[in-house]
Amino acid sequence: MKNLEKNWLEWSVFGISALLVLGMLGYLVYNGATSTSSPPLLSVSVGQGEQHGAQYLVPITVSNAGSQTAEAVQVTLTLTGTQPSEVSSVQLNYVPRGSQRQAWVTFHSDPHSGSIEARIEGFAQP
Amino acid sequence: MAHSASMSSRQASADADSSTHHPTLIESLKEYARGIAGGLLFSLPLLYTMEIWWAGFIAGPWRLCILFGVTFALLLGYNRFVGLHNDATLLEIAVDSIEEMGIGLLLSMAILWMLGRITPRMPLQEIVGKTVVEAMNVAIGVSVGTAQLGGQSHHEGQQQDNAGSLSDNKALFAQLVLALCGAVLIAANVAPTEEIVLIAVESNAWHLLMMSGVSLVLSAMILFYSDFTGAPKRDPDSGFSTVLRGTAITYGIALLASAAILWFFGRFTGTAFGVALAETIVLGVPAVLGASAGRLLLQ
Repeated sequence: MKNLEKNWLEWSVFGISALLVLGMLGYLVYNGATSTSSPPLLSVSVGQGEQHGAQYLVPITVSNAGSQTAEAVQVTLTLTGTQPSEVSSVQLNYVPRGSQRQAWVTFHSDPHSGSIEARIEGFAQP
Repeated sequence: MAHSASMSSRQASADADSSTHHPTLIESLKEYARGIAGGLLFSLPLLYTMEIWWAGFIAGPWRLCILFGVTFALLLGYNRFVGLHNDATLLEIAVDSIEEMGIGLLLSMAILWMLGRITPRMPLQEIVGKTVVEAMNVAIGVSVGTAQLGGQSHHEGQQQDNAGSLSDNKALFAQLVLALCGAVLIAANVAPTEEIVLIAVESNAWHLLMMSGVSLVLSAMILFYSDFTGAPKRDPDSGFSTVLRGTAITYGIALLASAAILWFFGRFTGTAFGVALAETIVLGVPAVLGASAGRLLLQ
């Protein structure tokens, strides 16, 4: 044991390291044991649109509740009840498992005067 | 690394008996500084690569656990044969390996945060994934940096001790571990990129054969024909079979490391055997460079 002589700084670095390593490993094991192998489960929530110049910007949030990451997620929003009805779409590179990603779509008409239907058209498996 | 010889004489007296005393604060701070420098030197390209960030959330938790385990084994091996003095106990090696792993995690977390790749509002899953994927290479870099970038003379003396006291089998095992560390350090920088797949898919058999040939020639050149730093003085009579064996073993290690890294990044999922083999050979070129140089430089 004589070789295991460290000063307080080295012991505290070791302590923090051990905590970090065990914490991360523990989290991964817990995560692996509790997560099921479900495909990406995506949902879209549409926020309040606001006017910028001649366009209306509508924020959307795509959440992935599944245990796999979705790639190239294609989201389409249809605005009905306005003259004319409009379709806008946006593509998100990745929506990781258990994560959320934000995006914006634009409309020419005021989205408040109609209703928006959001749909995930499809995604790829990375 | 090249400086070690020139700096050694100045620090010889200061370090001669440091292994039996508590290191002073300044000494340990300097050691951490070397570790941080080494970690960043080897892995900053990876921290700046988006395929690695993606791997952090694409790879499942079990795959990340395997990565954790393999890295820890490499650190243990490296610290056993290089980083510490020869009579280090297993406990001592483990303590140092955990420390290097922790520094790797902290460092990669800090850099990823600085680069805006992880934010406190992200789900824990994503933060942990990105940090772990990046941290493993940083940890090996920290280990190499701590051992290599310093100018202690006792290190060189200890190398001789190591070589002298290890049996042939152990010496070979030590060489294999060093080759693996070198291969991982160099190959990991390009492994996750799309380019590997692109080259593999577009290469015909002749290109692949050429890559294998070049890998073998590079390995033989570094190991035996270039008086590389740390290369053993070769007995001119030792003959072609020694060269052939050394080169073949090193290339084998390089291919093994390539395949393992590619598998981790999901490059083999749903891929035909021929394409997977081609990817391994493509990545084998940088890997064999790292493996050959690692056997000589990292010791």
